[in-house]
Amino acid sequence: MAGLRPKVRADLVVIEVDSEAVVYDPEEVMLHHLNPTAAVVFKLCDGSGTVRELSEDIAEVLGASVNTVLRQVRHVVGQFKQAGFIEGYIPKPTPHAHTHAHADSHTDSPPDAMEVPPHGRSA
Amino acid sequence: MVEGSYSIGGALVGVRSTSREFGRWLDHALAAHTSSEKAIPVYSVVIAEPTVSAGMAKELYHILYKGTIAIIKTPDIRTLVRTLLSDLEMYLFVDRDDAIFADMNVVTSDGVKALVPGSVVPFIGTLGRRRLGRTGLTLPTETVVAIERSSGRVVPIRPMVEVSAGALDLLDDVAPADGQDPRMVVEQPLSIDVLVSVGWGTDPVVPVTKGLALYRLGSHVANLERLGGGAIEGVLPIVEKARCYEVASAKPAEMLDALLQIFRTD
Repeated sequence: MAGLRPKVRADLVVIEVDSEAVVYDPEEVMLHHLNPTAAVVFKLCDGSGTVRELSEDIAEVLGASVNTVLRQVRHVVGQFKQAGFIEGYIPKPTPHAHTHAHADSHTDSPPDAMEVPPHGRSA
Repeated sequence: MVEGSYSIGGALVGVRSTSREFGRWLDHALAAHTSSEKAIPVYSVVIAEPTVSAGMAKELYHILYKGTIAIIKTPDIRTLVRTLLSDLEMYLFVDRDDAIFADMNVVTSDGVKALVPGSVVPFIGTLGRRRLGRTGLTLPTETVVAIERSSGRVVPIRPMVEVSAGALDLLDDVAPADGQDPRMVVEQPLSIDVLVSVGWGTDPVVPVTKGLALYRLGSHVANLERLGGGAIEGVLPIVEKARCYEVASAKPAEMLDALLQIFRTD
């Protein structure tokens, strides 16, 4: 199952800037903003590992607890699924065209908040 | 009130005016686009009528509305027409790939060039020309920008809306050209020093990350579907080189102060 070993769609265009990324989805004509954590998770979603395995890799690099990282990675992968980034998942409709994805909750925006200018989302 | 209908880029665009002379002039200027089908007015042009008030000379303003928003208020009819024509170009952007087109504006102060969302200029424009004039800001004539894909510089927009030859020279017959408006027109490639977006925070001005700035600038690209991810790669040099800020969505005076604060920041 695609969800067990998440793999991002090959047609997405990713532009990295500093440690963040902007993803262009040509199917939806939509932009997405990924914060540094989401950008790391996005890069790791290549179909080679489960969410737990991805989390273990990240936890090892960061020296953080696997459970803490796992919670965040699950959240981010969930947002990726909603955005239709992961193969096998259809994006959930949003009222506008752009979004942001946030991996943690210590920002002004709630973690699930999708900031939506004319073409996108932010994670 | 007179109305004209024009077909531009497959869209039917209505323009109405308080001036019969302006309506005639526009019909002549946009003869190549005239449509027999009646369009819903998108733009309204109010041409100032000379009045005598107790012998005092009074500055007259022509106003261009898009919907209910006054996108420019100017004493110079040519400036108003340039603004209208630049806005009409937008109907053609979705199919163009010769540049990245965005509903952003260049605002300058003391040689510093800022790229701001297109909605900001008419918003702070409501404060009036004299007040804006005292700030030292130079506002744009055009409502949109073209960005060169290879360099990320703002470049002149190659006009595609067909204007009848010599039409602009006939404008003096429509309204006296006695007003001056020192607005800027992009006539050569410009590098952008400051990139501004509008956010939902409460702080009047905050720096934003390059990623967020890129995302927000990308959201203003009109031909995103045509250019795909290349449009975002194309505007990346602006984000990389510019200082990137967010101003809070606020009242016009507060947003103006926020912009001035950014210009004063090294």
